[in-house]
Amino acid sequence: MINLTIDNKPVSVEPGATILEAAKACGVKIPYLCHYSKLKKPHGGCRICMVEVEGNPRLLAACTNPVAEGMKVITGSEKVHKARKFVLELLLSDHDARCITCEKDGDCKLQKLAYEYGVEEPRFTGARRNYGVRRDNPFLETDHDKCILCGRCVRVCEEIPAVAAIDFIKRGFATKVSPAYDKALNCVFCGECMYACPTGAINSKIGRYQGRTRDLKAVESVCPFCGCGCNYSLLVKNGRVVKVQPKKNSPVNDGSLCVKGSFGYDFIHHKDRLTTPLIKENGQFRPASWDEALGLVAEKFKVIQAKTGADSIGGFASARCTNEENYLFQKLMRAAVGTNNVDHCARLCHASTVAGLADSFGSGAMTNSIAEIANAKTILVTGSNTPETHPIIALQVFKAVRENGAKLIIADPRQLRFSPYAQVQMRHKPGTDIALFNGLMHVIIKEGLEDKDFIAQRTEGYEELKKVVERYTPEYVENITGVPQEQIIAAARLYATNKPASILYSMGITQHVTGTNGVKTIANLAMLTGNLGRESSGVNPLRGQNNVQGACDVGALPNVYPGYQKVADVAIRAKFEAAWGVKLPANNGLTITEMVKAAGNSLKALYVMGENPMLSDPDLTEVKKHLESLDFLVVQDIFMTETAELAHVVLPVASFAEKDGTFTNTERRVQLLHKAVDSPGEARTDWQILCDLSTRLGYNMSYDHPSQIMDEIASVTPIYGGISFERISKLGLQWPCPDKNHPGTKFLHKDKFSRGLGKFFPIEFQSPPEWPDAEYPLILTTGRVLFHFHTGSMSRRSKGLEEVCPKPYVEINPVDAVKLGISDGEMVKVGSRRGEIQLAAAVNDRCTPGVIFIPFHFKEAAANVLTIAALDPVAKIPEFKVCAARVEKA
Amino acid sequence: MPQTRVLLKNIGTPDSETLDGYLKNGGYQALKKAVSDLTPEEIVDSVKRSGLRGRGGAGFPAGMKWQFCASDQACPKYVICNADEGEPGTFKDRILLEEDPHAVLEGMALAGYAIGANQGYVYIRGEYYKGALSLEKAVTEANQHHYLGQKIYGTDFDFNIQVFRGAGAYICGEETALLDSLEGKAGRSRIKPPYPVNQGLWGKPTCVNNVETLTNIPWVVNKGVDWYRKFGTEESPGTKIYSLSGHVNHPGNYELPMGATLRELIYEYGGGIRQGRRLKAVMPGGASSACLTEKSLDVKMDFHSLAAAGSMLGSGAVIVMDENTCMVGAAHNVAAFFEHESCGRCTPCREGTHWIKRILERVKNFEAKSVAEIDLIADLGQNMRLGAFCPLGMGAPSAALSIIQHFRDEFETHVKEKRCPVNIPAVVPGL
Amino acid sequence: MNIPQPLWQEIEQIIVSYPQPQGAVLPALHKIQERMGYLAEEALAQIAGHLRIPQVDLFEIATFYTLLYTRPHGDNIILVCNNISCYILDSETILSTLEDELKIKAGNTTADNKFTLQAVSCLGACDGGPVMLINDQLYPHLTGDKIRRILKEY
Repeated sequence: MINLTIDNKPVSVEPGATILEAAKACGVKIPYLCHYSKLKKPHGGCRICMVEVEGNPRLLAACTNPVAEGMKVITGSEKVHKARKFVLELLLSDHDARCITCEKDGDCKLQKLAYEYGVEEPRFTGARRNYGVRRDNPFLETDHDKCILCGRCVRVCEEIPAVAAIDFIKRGFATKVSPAYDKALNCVFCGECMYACPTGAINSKIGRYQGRTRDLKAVESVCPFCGCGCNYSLLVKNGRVVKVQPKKNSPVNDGSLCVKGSFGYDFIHHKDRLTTPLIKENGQFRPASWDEALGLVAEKFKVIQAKTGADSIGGFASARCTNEENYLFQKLMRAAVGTNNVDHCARLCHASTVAGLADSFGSGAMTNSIAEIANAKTILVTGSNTPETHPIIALQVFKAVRENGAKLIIADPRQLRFSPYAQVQMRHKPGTDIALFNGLMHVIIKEGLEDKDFIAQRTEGYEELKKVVERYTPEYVENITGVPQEQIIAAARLYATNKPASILYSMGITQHVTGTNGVKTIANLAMLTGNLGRESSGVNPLRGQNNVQGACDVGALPNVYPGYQKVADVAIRAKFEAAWGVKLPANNGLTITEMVKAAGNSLKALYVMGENPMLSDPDLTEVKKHLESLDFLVVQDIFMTETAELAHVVLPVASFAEKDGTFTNTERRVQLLHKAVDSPGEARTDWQILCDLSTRLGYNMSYDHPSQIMDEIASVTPIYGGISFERISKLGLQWPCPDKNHPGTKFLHKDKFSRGLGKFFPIEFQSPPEWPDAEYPLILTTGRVLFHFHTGSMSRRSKGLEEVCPKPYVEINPVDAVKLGISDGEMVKVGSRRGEIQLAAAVNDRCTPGVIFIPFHFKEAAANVLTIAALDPVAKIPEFKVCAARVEKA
Repeated sequence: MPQTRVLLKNIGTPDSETLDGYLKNGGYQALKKAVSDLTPEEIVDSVKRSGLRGRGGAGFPAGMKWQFCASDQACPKYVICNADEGEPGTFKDRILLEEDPHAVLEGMALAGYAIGANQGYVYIRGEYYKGALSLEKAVTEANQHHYLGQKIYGTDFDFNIQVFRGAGAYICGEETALLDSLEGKAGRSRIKPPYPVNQGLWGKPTCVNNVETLTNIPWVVNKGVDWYRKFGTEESPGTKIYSLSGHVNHPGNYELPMGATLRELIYEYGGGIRQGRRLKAVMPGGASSACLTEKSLDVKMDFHSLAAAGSMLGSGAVIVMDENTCMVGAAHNVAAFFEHESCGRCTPCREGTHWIKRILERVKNFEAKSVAEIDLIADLGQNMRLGAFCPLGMGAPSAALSIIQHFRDEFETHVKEKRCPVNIPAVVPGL
Repeated sequence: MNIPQPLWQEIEQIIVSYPQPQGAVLPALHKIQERMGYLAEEALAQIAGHLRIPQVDLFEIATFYTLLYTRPHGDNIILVCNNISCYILDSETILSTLEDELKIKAGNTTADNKFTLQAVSCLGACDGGPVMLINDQLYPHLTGDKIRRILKEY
């Protein structure tokens, strides 16, 4: 330790610490502008943090100068004060100080310091730099005349999202911050620069002139878009959410957000919000009262229940809704309606994860935490376009690779934004994941790189696995996957030896007819190398929706009650019967995909809470046919979705910003959201509707507040046993959290798998159900893009997101485009055996030749018109990632 | 009186820029001696004992720099010849680079041998096309004849040199900015510590020496420390090339022992002031140095003496101004230079150089409202010296401050009487 | 304007000659400028992609150094030294003479695209002041007549 004094206060700090760090440690305040605690390297440019060091005639910047033994630092001298004031004077000499209309007024670091140091009329007069304001992108407004060139924005853009969209241009007094060639900003628009800016130079166009910090009420919440579950505050003025502010030091997002989090919240107050219950009459919706609408729903359900039995009614819970609401939904279906026909869109994303990991390990969730990723030595990303689908998790990957020297392996057919950082990038043919990973395991075993102790002590079934992967030689695997042997060998060696190694995967693995097997194969690979049960390792399925993890956890699944307790287990069923005071059905219910197929046949009524199968499910033509043939369809949502349009009754609900509750993010962290604004019109929260409806159905449900629902969840769900609103008021808790004193679980399977021993499953590669042929020569794969979310009901109603990404497109490799005579931007027809859509071609090399990609968010050219409804036999997840298609000029 | 031509000895000899010419002048003998008979430690020791101080401006003892670098265990190490001669008024390195490039290369190879580096770079400013060509040719020739490259003089010592052209940025003469530039970035000074001797080019120990400094090395190695120290003063040994420019009869490079006086340089070697005018001011160490007046002409031109006189030796660029020079104009010109060359990283330099220039512009154009504006320059200058990030910003106000100090009345006349007290006749005929 | 193949090969050679590819940035930009006249956006994007450096970093570099050009310039570049040694020898008049002769202000290019005129920092030829550099040719001891004579050579 180094001992020094700052303003005569003794302090000891680690060698290499800066004077600024030492000052913080002993509570001495040193002002700064260019220093930013999220950044590793100091900049030393603003010179506000200058201090006097005894024996040195100059002043030293506290942010860049390391401490030395016996150093005597003086921060409060006249000399220091004058120098700082002078710097402020210089900064203001060239600053557009129209604080009156500045977005940062009251929250501006320059303004605060200028006041503190009493900088009045600047002595430097005359014309100022006049670069003006740039507004030529949908999200950010850059006011160059308020820029103090501290470089925070430049540095965060480079270091945090690894985008480097802006830099200092020119030099000296002429310096300004700008994109290359002074063009309009074209980046991922995460807003990191805006959060870093100490002045009013970078503002949100979405929130501009709608309220400044002092006028705003901050309400802590959780971002409603993806499964990252970023913590942020909704900033409210006059009953409207006008801005958001990411939470600093959050273990999830540490002050960062992506474009959807930063700018996508304006859907909350969109004019399309549903404000009154609607009943369809003669093909037209008419407004109705809650009493009438819910009365009608209750009556219809009762009639159908009586006529064709409870199992002719089904329900789709929602990965968008809170844990409390999903819990009530499944309770309503099971206890009030009397069926286990309850499922939600996890079926379409990670059902195979839940099933596969439950078999391999005993529980199906991310084994490790988001923050652990940054410390992994090797990261294998497969079937996940992390920078677009989980941007905040991608930040951890960038941090691991760029700051901590981790090695990145990517196994994905498409080129991703972090491909340039990959040590090994394997671009295998879609649908050949199992062959590829069997190939990796073959190499690992052949070269003796497996973790023998781990296999012996913690697993079973190894010999069977070994037998199967025996024939997956690199040559054989190259033939199937198209990945060069050297890459397979390199990836295998790296993953097996450079530990801890963490696997991140997503729908590229799960959305296959072999999804469950794909997941088990990944589990095999991790167990084989002992990359489980320790920090920064693991098998990490990145969950898609904000609360898909929670919806699964609280039992919105047809075969399990809350906490993955099996319906088929008599004792468990008895427990729930006792808890809920009602006899419960014994048979497993139908999955989403099965319910859609049964709709109009054995299934007569469907209750859809916040889901949109008319865009999210495969083979939409078929889906529509089925939904239209239902006797009764109820949809409750915040917008009139494609599915709601087919409904008999539509119920308007509160958005995430209008209610209290919890979401569980992808790393099993249960987090609290708070009501920030009132719902529009007569919209009610889902949980209130569910209580009302259940009571009308004859099963009384009554809660004063969602916290009571969580208490009930905790009482019946061992993994949530210790969770309460009170405990998570400051920071979420990660399940398993079995009791009130349990601190939550950072990573799973530490000394023992949930199922005891980890189980190896020997799995053979199997071809996808539909493979290209002469008629349909291309492989179509589908997925998400950065700027939209799921079926777009929210993101496409966000002004900025829709502006930046307004149209559907199909990505096609230049090789194929040339063959087909198609140029970039041209309209094309894409067809499969199930349908045809028209959209623009995006000619680029993100897909390999022979593969095309279509994002599924766009109703005007719905990718799921083309996809195949072939199902995984175990998890019933559809094959979204591979079907045969063709492209023609439109 | 003849100059003491050591470093300039080869300049003007036939084909001095070629390998043949250099060999005829005894070239590469120091390298031969070093790699055959001397240990790296012995060379570092000689350079230390020679007292050779950096000729780029800062005057840091070269031997100490080498020792720091040699004792760092990390590898590879690099030798960099700083040929980014950008200090206004300086043109000594250009002559060496153009006409005696092998001497520079030999100096670098000796440095490489001494510190344990096998790769050298010459960072030559972009404006020096001819120098770069000359160096390129010299490197090729030296490689062909094994004075550079693998197994030099049959020993295990390998040393390669690459010529790297800058692209027009004065700041790159500062060694850490130079390193950033070489690494493919905008040349902005780095935070120190770490110092280049430990973490320089690509984070490796790096020895950055000025062209003239390096051309001293073969002499130190060949002739020995005692011979070398016969020139110059105890505290500034050796000779120095002074670049004399401005209103003198014979501008040019003059090599004299350190400690020759300013008067000797200007009047004996430079032939005095043109048209028999009187000397008004002289900047003895380039545009970053404080100006001196007639009173100081007997100052010795070495590190210590010039510092004691309130200025500095800097790069040895002596810029002479006669009695017809408007000092406001001169101060403004230097201020404009620094504004143009500020990298923009730190507030004091970026804004300070701008405001000094702007205020001087107002004074020059008789637009200044009061003499308070002149005081503001002093305030700016003091704060820049106190708080700028790098030597550029600290040195930028020196000229303006010293000119104001010596010629304040001229500034006041500009402000109060809206006229220039000096009537400058055109010195360029035929316009 | 994309980088033509033969030039790519030369750039490749430069890149491999540096222990870190990024070291090749300035030499490569010099080379592109020498062959293609200036640093076109496409060319910079290509280099950025190849060296895996953000394009904006290269743009920063291209605008930081005064001898790099991000826009087309004249066939001949005239750099006039405007620093103290030349200044006191009346380089301002030299510059204004050039401006008059070429009918442009410093920083601009003549209508016939023959010359770009630029005032620059010290050219390191102060013993010959006032001086200018046209392309790689240095012209010392300038006078008005001399300037007019020199311009005719181009």
